[in-house]
Amino acid sequence: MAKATGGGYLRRLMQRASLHGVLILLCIIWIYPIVWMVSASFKTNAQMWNNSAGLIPDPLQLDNYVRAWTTSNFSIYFLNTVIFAVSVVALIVFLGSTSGYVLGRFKFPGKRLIMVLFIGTTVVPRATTIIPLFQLADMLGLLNNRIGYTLAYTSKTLIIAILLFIGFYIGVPREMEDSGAIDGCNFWQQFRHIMLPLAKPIIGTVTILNTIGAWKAFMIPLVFTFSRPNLRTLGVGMYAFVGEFSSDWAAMAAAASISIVPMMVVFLLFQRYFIEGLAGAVKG
Amino acid sequence: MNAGRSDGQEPNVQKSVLNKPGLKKSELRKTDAFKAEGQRSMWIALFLLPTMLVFLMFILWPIIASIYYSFFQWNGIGEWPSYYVGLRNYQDLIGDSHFWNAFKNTVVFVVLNNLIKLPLTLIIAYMLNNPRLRFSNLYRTGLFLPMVSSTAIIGIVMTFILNPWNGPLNKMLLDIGVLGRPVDWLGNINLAMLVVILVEVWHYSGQYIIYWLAGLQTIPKELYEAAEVDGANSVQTFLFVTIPALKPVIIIVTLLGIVMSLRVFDIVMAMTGGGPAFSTDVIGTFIYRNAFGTASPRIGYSSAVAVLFGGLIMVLGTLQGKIVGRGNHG
Repeated sequence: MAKATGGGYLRRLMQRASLHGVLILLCIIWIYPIVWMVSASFKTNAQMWNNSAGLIPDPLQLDNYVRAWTTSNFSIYFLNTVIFAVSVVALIVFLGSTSGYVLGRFKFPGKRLIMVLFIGTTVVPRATTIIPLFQLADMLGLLNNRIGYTLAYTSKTLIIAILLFIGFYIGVPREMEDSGAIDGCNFWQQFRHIMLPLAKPIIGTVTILNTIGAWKAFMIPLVFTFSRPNLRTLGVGMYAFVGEFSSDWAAMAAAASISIVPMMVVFLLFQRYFIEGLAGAVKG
Repeated sequence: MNAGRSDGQEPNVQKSVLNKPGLKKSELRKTDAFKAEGQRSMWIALFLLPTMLVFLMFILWPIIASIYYSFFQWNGIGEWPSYYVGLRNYQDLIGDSHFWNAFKNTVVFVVLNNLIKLPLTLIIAYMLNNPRLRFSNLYRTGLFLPMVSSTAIIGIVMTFILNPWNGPLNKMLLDIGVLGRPVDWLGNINLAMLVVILVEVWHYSGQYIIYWLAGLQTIPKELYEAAEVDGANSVQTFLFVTIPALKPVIIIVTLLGIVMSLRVFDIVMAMTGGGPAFSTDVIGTFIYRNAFGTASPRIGYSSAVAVLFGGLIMVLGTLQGKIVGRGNHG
């Protein structure tokens, strides 16, 4: 390698420094609202008024969390959201893996039609079909209960999970099943003991994408809990909270932190699966 | 091991079957295969049944019902619409200035959001893609963090930050002298839409950085090496190597960005509710307001909006599917 001249070296150094400078600035802007929210959650309402831009609460106090958690029902919303997210993920992994397996590995009449319907309907936005969905749930008695909004939410994200499982199962070599057949496994056992464990990476991706997705859900839980406030999830609870207590800003910041921070932790722990799941959309 | 299995074990299986008396060898093979085939079909149907049930009830039925409802005048009371009006909802739609306002706002949202988001995230991804960049993972995590928070809550946090009385943004801009007096970012009919768009860009930028990074990884290293040999600087490399090589990915991500942003609802609902003076009202909030946000819901009319709009998105989505499909085959 040729020896770099002094000027070239300096220019490189400057370039690298400015690259880092730009990225650091971007990161500061990007995480400022989140840091601001968390810091505000430890301020008093008076501090929020007088020192709203400051990031260090003084004195630091936890009372906002107590108010949000108990008097404003965020403990209930939190529990509802956990139950919702766990049920959604369990349903999606079960439905997605079973149907993704048969659609990915077997030929049968009607398969093409199913695929066309699945893919064609993924692009239709929820807002455009929310009215009949609401009516149907009402007719079936699924409004204002957990099963209703879990099923309604699952239906939408399920298709993407199915496509991920199909993509995976198409690539698994045929011999994997043959060996199971010889061991005397029936179809279900073959799936349960051989094919399902193979799909662990996809299960991981689907789990993390949908945990975060369900945690963020808004429209379905909103219209499905109109008359049952104690079934609200965090997003809906927060939306209602702002309407009811619009002066207690510090408690709202605490409620927002309760809603957002757990998913950030989940994301930091399982970043890789999340990124792989999203990147799949572009890799095709 | 595989070869050993297929040579050595298959006869064993056949033998055990042949041990059953009363059937000729050829006959037996046929019924056996038949039975296995029938059983397999049953299992396939069983595996698909729960998914199909959920799909038919919660996805396909609402789409069909939306189309059906759109031919009726109905306030949602009673189990089923009965006052058939033919195409009148669609005719009313064409003459409704609120609909066209929401339509225009949606187009503005989609165009501006993507014009800002796509180039910005591509440039960021290009900077992050450098394998020699230190702290790359740290930067990525920082930039990805907003996208895991729910839109409803982001919207509310942002209304705090932007508020004209004591919002930190106004405070900071006043302190450094950029502003002479506080700006009501979300209460100004000329600014509100732009602010909502910028918040949406910030919120989902991480997702697009991931898309671009995945795309950038498909560009062969040799192309970059050749550019380096030719003495190209990083801006030249970006313009004349990266962009042309990324063309198929750019098309996919752009269509993805358009289809996703057409769905805009949560962020508007949480930040402005469509206001002030309908300046941020989009199709999603228009449908919601007509169906749930009024004392006299217009279900048939809302459905007509939904059908028209959903149809448009499906056309775009099909286009995307076609392009992605072509990319995979050739």
